[in-house]
Amino acid sequence: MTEPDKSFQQQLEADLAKLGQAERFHVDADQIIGRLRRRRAVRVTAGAAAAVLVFITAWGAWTFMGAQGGNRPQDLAVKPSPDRLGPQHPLPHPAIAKELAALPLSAEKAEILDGLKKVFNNRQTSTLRITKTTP
Amino acid sequence: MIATTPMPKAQTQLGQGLADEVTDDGILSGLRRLDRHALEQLAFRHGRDLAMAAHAYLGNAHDAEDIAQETLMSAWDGARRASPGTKLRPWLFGILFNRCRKHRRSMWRRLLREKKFAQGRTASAGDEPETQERLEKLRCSLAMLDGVCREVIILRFQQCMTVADAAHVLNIPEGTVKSRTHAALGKLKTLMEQQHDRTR
Repeated sequence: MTEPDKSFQQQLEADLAKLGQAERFHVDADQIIGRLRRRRAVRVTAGAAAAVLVFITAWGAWTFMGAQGGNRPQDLAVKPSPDRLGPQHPLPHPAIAKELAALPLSAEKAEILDGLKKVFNNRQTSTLRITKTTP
Repeated sequence: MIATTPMPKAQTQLGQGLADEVTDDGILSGLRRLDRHALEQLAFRHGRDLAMAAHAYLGNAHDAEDIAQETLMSAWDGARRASPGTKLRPWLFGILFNRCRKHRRSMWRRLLREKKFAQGRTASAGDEPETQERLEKLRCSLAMLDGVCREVIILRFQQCMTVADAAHVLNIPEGTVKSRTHAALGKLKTLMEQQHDRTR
């Protein structure tokens, strides 16, 4: 390796100073402020989009778990009552259920219950069976 | 810097007003308060030097401008985290070189840079052909030099920093700066001589 001398260093300093001289660099406060504002806007938008995405994912997971008959907190909290139609059961409506329960066990009542059986799934069927046995 | 860049008249007048007002410590404390005036002073005082250094490092004016702006943005964001005794200029150049290194690491940018490098401009139209040729050689030699050597060359010979300040920027001992400078000068000289032989 050659020994760098003083004249080389001086020439280098002069040349390095000239190197970017032909360029017009736009580095001023207005541009920095503009870029900072744009960056903030991008961050806010990205944050909002991420929040929406998280919300949609959570809602989707919640709904999926419900469709699977899974362990949603409300499913865990609700214990199907064996002897009455509780308010937690969406169908049949408590008022209808009350009326049904009040009816004497007749052919008409049996027909209604059979119709409901066809409509409801197994979960409701068990409830209806209990209702049928209620005097 | 040895050769100062001519500035527009309006900017010069503004700059004299700004430059006389606040010291570097004042600018730093202004940045901590998120004072826009401090940012204006910072951009005026150091913006062009940062861009020139980035240009020497990256070999491309557009990227250099971008990196210089990003450096000032980082300074605006990070001023509150800077310790009270921080020297503004070495701190800024530390940020600048971190940004430049990050920029160079990117693969796709490397391909783009090589393309841009061929289109790069070194000298103004007014320069003599001999000067233009010398600057072109310097630009090519700098591009071939490894990053560590290039950093020390820029700090010591373009920005005319002291050994202590360069050590602060690069976060290395002063002795290492001296040895790196010596090695970098030797490598640069060899590369420039090789360029010279190639052109003959």
